Amino acid sequence: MITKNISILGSYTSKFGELWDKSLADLLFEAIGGVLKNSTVEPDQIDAIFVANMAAGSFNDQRHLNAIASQYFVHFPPAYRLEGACASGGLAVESAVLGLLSGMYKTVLVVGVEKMTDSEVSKVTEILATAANTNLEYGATFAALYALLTQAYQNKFGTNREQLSAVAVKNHRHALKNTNAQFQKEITIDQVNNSTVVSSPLRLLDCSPISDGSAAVILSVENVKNKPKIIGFGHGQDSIDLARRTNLTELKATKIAAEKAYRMAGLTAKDIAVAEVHDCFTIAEILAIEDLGFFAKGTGGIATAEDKTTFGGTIVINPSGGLKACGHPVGATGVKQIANIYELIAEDQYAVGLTHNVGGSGATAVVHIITK
Amino acid sequence: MICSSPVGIVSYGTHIPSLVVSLSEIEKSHHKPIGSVSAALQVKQKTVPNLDEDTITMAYESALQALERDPNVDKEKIQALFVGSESHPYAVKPSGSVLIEALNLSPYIGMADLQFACKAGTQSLQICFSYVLSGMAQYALAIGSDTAQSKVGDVLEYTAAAGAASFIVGNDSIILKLLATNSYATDTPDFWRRPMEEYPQHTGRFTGEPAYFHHIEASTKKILGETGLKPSDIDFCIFHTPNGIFPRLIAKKLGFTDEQVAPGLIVEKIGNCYAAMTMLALSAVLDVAQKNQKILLTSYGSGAGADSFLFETTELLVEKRNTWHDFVNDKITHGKNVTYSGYINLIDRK
Amino acid sequence: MNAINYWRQNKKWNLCLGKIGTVFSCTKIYASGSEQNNIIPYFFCIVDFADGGRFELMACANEEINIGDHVQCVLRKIGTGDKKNIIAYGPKIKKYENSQGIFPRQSNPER
Repeated sequence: MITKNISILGSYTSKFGELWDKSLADLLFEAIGGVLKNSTVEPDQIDAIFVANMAAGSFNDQRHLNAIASQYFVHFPPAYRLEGACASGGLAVESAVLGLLSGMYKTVLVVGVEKMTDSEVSKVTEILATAANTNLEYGATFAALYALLTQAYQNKFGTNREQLSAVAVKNHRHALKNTNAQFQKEITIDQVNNSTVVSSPLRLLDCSPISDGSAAVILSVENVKNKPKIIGFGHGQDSIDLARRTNLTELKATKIAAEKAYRMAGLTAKDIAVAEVHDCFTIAEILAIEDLGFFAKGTGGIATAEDKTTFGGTIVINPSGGLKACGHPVGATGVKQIANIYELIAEDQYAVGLTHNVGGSGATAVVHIITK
Repeated sequence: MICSSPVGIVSYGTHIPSLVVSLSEIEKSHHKPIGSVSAALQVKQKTVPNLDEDTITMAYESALQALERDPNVDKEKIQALFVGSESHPYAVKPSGSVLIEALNLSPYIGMADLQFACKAGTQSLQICFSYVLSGMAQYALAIGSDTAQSKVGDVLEYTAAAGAASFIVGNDSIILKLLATNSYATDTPDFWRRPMEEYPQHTGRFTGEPAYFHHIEASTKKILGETGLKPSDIDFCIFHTPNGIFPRLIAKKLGFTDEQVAPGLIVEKIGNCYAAMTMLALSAVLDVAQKNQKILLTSYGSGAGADSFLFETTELLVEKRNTWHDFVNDKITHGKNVTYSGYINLIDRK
Repeated sequence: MNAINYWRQNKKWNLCLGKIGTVFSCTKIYASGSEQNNIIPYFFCIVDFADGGRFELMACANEEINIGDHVQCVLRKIGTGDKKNIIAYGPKIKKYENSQGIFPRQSNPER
């Protein structure tokens, strides 16, 4: 059980998309300013900042982001940058929670940011591929690694093309209500089925986009009435390269993270009403909803196709539109997931929510559980 | 030089790229009557290296086959490696160094790259024989490998091809005994490529009589004279094949028959693989030769020079060959055709 | 590829070069990083080698690979660089089907 109260006092998410007029620093400061404005926390109450970012060094020739974030404040709070590929956001939130639990800090700010769209596509592909083992998986792209997982999953469970497409269609439909989403446009099963092959069998519309964006939350040990709280978290790891995994039809890191989070929160998967999961590719959502315990192994595709993961279904998965439709500015995603679930719980739309953030092809996974 | 101690080839391997372009495709693009150049050169198609192939990768695959064919060869005892090519990927850094690592050879090895146009491979072979004969190496590996360059539209485009052959030389378990060898070289400027130039220059008809024919004739007559053998004593003769016509002409001039020269004329189906050519032709002959047969080989390298070898097959060749697969003609048969635009695309994308 | 990293990698080539295996899973990549742009589309595969090792490797250019194919690991260029850089060589796989139809012994069962 978590030993201290971890309240979420505010959130902010920027527009996600191809944001030509916004620099990396613009996005970082926008999120910091935005979350402060959306809370009652004064700037000088921020004891520390946790910055989530994967690859500003490669995309933007900018490292040392923690210093840039700290510079927003006149009191220059200590700041940290966390990197775990696409799990950077989840890791930043987890690290912030650990900082609070340690007693070092009372109130902290977590901000995730990524500015990807200034680079051309093959360069972005190359940079993202560094989340794999660049020696043992040389020549792989991210899509290729998830395509291999898709192949393994389809061979074992017979999941068909339509079931994969159903994930993308659902998330685009969900994003229609999210004004920050990169895509607010419905797509059809046929459109997904017939989109260009990126890495067989994954097609363009199976893949989350390249995006710019930022998100921030403020966490505190102060027990503020009616504010959602993080009541459990878990962190799992697995082999970075697929060849060394014992099972390619699940993400073991997700299972480990989920088990730890449920145990800490004193809950089970059945208690979760809404979840933002890591759908970097359609197969990733199917694996996630199984590995998080929402559906039995091998049935995630069917459940999605049968509308069990949308509004009115068994559980709502990715109400924001997920990575697929909301967008995936890598470092921001994990923080945005927390922001989204926080807002839904704060508005009493759901009782208990879960966030699931994955790094690479599943080498890192972080799960948080939030309730009021 | 007549060989007085046992030395010879212990195993061999080849690599022939799986893509081929027909001469009719090239004739079409050059606006020549279909079949005209092919008939004149006696070449029907040539190999095209794939996008990720080069002299080093082809050399590797040929050496891999040679090693696989005789697992008794202790790689630690391969103490010399010479790689002949006119398309080494580096101007400075030997192709052989990559091969040492890739083939997992001992680093205690004498190694260098050679260039002598189309005879760089056989010169490597001759050097390997000398290493083993001298006792400096128990085994030596000789490789000829090339991805020949030709300018689009030039006559060389019809025949400039790619391929590799490897021979493991030793003094035990010999499948092809070396009986004699000699070389002949002069300063004859029939063909050259300056540094920084992508394509070679050649002197047209001068590449014939004063170059190819003179050097091959001189070297071959020398070895026949030294050994006291006549053409009728030889079972197979292999001459360098820049096309299918020249070797037939020189064979006839020297007194050899069509039957003796035909088995080595794989140029018809793969084009001219430059430094690998005569070694590939020898490999094709070894794929079919019986025991106790004599093979005369004379290579030619522009610039110019010729290496001659007199070999005799052993019973062990036939015995070992029964356990092998993927012979030269098998690889030729499995070639996949590309169009001329496909061939140009492959060159452009490298 | 950085020259020194190439040097570190070439020490590991003997872990798979020359070996024969079976394709466990494969995908055809149509959009790659800049180092492989000149060979797209190409296959990327998980291969189980007969001696028990499992590796993730690119297939040779223009190879069509299917799950279950018998393959051999050979040396090929694994990336393009500019003309000043070291040439990146490394292991790739190509179909292994010898002319007498002799296949290698089966690799380890699916895991």
